[in-house]
Amino acid sequence: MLKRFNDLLDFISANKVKEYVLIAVINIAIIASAIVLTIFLKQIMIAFVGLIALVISNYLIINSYIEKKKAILDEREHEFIAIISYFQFFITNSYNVYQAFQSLIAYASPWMEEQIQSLIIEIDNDKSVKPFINFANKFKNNVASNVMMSIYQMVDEGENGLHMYQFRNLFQELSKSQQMDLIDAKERSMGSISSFPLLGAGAITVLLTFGIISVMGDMINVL
Amino acid sequence: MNSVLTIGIIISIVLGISSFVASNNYIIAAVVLAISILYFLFIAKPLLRKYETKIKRFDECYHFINTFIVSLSIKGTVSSAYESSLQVMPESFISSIENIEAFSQEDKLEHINKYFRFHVFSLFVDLINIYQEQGGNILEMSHHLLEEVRLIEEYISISKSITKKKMVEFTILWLLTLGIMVFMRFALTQFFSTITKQIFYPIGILSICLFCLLSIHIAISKMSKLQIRGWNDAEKIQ
Repeated sequence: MLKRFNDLLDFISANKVKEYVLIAVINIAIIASAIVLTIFLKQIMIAFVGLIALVISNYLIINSYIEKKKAILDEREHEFIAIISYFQFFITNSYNVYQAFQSLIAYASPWMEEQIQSLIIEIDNDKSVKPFINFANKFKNNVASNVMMSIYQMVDEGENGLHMYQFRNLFQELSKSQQMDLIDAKERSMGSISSFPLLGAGAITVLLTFGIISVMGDMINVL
Repeated sequence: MNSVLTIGIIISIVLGISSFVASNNYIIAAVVLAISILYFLFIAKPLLRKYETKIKRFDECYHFINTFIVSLSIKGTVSSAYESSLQVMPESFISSIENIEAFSQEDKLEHINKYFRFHVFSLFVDLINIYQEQGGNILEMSHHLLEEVRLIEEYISISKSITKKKMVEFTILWLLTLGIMVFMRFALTQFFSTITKQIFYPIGILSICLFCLLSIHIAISKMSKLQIRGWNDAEKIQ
C-alpha cells in the first residue's frame, strides 16, 4: 500500500517529504480541532463531523495525486496524436518513415523525445514490427497500435497511396476516439453534480431526525 | 457577463431568504447572503469570464486556421493568406495585434500563437514554417490539422449542450431541496419553535446553505473545465 503510494508520488515527481509533512499537518489539525471542539461544546456530534472531515480530506489529498497522474497520462495520449500530426506533415512531404521520426524529435516533449529516440535505436537494430509495437504499448489507446502497425507497413512495403490512405483513416479514428473520451468525461463529470442537491436533502432529513430525537429526549427528561 | 452577476445576486437572495425562513436567525441569513454575494463577485464571475474567453478564443482560432489554409492553397503566398485571415477576424482580435504590423510573417504568427495559446495553433505555426521551408501540398499536409480543429470545435459545442442540460437539472433539484427546508417551518410550526432553540439546528441550516454554495462552485468549476490542449486556465489572459 505504502509502496504504491510512494510509486504514485514518484510518478508525478512530487517531493515525498513535503507531501508527507502536508498530510500529517492536515490530519493533526483536524483531529486536534475535533477533540477541542467536542470537549469545549460538549457535543459528541462534532467528533463525528471531525471523523467525516478526516476521511474526506485524506480522500481528497490522495485523489489529487491520482488526478495528477491521470493528467500526465492523458497528456501523453494527446502528445501521441500531436506527434503523429507532425509525422503526417513530413510523410506527405516525401520523407521516409525513418527520416520523419528523426524530424519529430524537434517537436517532442522530453518524455516523448526519449521514446522516439529509443524507437529509432530499436529500428536500427530490429527491422521487424516489434519496435513499433513497443512504442504503441506506451499509450493506452488501442488505436495507437493500429496506427504504428500502419506506419510499419509503410516501412515494409513502401509509402504508397494505399498505406497513406490506411494511415490517415486510422489516425482520424484515433482523434475521434480521443474526442469521444473527452465528451464522455464531460458527461460523467457534469452528471455527478446532480448528487449534491440529493446530499443536501439527506442532510435536512438528518437534521430533522436529530431535532425530533433531541425534543423527545427533552420531553422524557421533563417526565 | 452582467447577467452572471444578476443570476448570482438572485441565487444569493434565494439562499439568504431560505436560510432566514428555515432558521429564524438574522445573523445566519446575513452570513449566507454576504458569503454568496462575495463568492459570485470574486470567484464565480472571473471563472466564468475565463470560460467564455476560452470558447471565444478557440472560435477565433478555428476561423483563422481554416481561412489561412484555404487562402494559402488558393493564393499560394503566406502574406496574402494572412491578410485574408484577418478579414474574417473580429475587431477585438485585430486590435490585439495592431502593434505587430512591422513584424516578419513568422514573428506575426508567433505573436498570434501567444494570443491563442492552443496547441493546435502551435501545430499550425509549425506546419506553415515547414511549408515555407520545404513547400508541398498545403491541403494534403494540413488534412489532419483541419480535422483536429473541427473535432475540438465539435467537442466545445457538445460540452456546452451537456452543461446546459445538467445545470437545469441541478438548479431544479436544489430549488426542491431548499423548498423542503422552508416548508418544514410552516408544516411543523410547533416543532419548529422548539427546535430553533437547539444549538445544532441553526449551525445545521448554515452548513446546508454553505454546502449548497460549495456545490454551486463545484458545478461552475466542472462547467468551465474544457480540455483544450495548450490552454492553461491558471494563466493570465492577454
